[in-house]
Amino acid sequence: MLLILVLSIAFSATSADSTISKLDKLKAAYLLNFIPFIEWPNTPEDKPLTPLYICLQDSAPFDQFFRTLVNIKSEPKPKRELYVARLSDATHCDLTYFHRSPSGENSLVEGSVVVLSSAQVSQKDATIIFYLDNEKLRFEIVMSNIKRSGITISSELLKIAKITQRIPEA
Amino acid sequence: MSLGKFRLGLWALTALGLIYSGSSFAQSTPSEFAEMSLTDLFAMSINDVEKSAAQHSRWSVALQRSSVEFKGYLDGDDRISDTDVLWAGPASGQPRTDKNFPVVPDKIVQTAYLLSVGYAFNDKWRAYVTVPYLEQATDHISIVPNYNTFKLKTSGVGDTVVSTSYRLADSALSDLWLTVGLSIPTGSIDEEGDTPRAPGDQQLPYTMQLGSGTYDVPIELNYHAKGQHDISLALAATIRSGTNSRGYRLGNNYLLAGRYKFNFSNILKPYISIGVRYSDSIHGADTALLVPGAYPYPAPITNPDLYGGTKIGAQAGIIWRMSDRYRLAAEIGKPIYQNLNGPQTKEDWRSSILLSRPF
Repeated sequence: MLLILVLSIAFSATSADSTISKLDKLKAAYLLNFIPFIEWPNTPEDKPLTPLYICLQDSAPFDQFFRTLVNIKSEPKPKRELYVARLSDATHCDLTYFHRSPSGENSLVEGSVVVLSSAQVSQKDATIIFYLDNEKLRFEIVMSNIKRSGITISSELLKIAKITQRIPEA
Repeated sequence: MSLGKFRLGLWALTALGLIYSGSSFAQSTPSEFAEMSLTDLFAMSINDVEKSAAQHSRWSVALQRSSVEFKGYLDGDDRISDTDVLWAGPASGQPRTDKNFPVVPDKIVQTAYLLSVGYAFNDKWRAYVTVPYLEQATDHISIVPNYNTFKLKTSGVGDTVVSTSYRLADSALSDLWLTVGLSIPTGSIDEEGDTPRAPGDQQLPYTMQLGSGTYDVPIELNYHAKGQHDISLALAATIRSGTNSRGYRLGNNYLLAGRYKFNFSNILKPYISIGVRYSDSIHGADTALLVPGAYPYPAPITNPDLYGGTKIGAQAGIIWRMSDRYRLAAEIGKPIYQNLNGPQTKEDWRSSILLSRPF
């Protein structure tokens, strides 16, 4: 009886069997680390506790891994409470991550920081795009889209990013 | 007191150590990624990440020294003194019963050195061979002339365990492993020593033997939560089979254990654990241990019914990540409740030190 109980608890806890590539783990960690360096126009300074909505495309392993990172990230603690939602279920997004080119999800990303998994993903509002350089994961920031969305990115993040004026050709 | 129980503890601890000392510090755990700063990420190459997976060797090695000391007596959960268990002899007028004995062990120390080698066939299947070397010493008091106090010692290779682990489930938050093994009776059950039973060397009691003499099946289920709280749960059992060449079979053992690991640092991981162990008494008997008369058991450890019981133990330990490849773990434990088929010597404390090179 005890064995059955333990087994059922264990299986229910691990039912979302999944594997995530090392590269995606790095991207998830970057994504979480971007947040303290970004200021959103819809977040007045006097309301720092407004929740921040992070939207992900349907992608079970990445979604699950990123949610785990959000739950266990201790230092530095994000100033704003983080909500992670699937893009298909979300009503508002402050930061949106695409790992494939979107079809009908564009309306939600207005005012959102749009992060693309790679330059192979096509999204016209992209603000941050991951790429590989000499076997290191790097990211470029699209300044034209930053300016248009009213987002402010700290100089610390800009310093380590490749700055692009327009979305590069895939 | 039960050698079988001790062995179960050792086997479970080794398996836990091998499985979790590796995964706890794996360079791809969510907690490690969560704690990385932007600078850390920027400095990291994909090769570093991939290498961390590739660097995981197919082989693991663990060396463990475990020690357990038994002292004092319990009958059920009632504490009784050594002198209550020692029969004072016919001249004293004290009646002889099945709860007192002319010979009484007052301290038992068992130490095991375990060498365990593992091989990972892939992410899901692993195999282990664990060989123990045992050292056992028992201090006795008795009413037999010239044997008022005496010590018996045995040492040698114990039973070899060959086991295989299968990862039943894995996710970013948890994993679940099932381990099934076969304990091969490579440990001697014919150890002899000079006891008061007769002149010269005689067959020693069950506790002093190095093996079970039977083919046994250790089985273990391990659940590991890898999220914000690092919690491991283990359900383990050793199922004995048949009867050995001396006419007995050690009791089955069952263990339910939980461990919480504190995430203070990536280098040092303290943990606390608690475990409930249940052990059956011995089935059958080694008739060489008996003496003629109404009371055939000269010492409590010669009576197969006075083995087994329930123990709840608490442990505290720390795992030190010495390098990318090597871990050193130390643990001390103390029973917090024991209910034994007594009179039986109670466990006083246990300790363990484990040097491992996980997969």
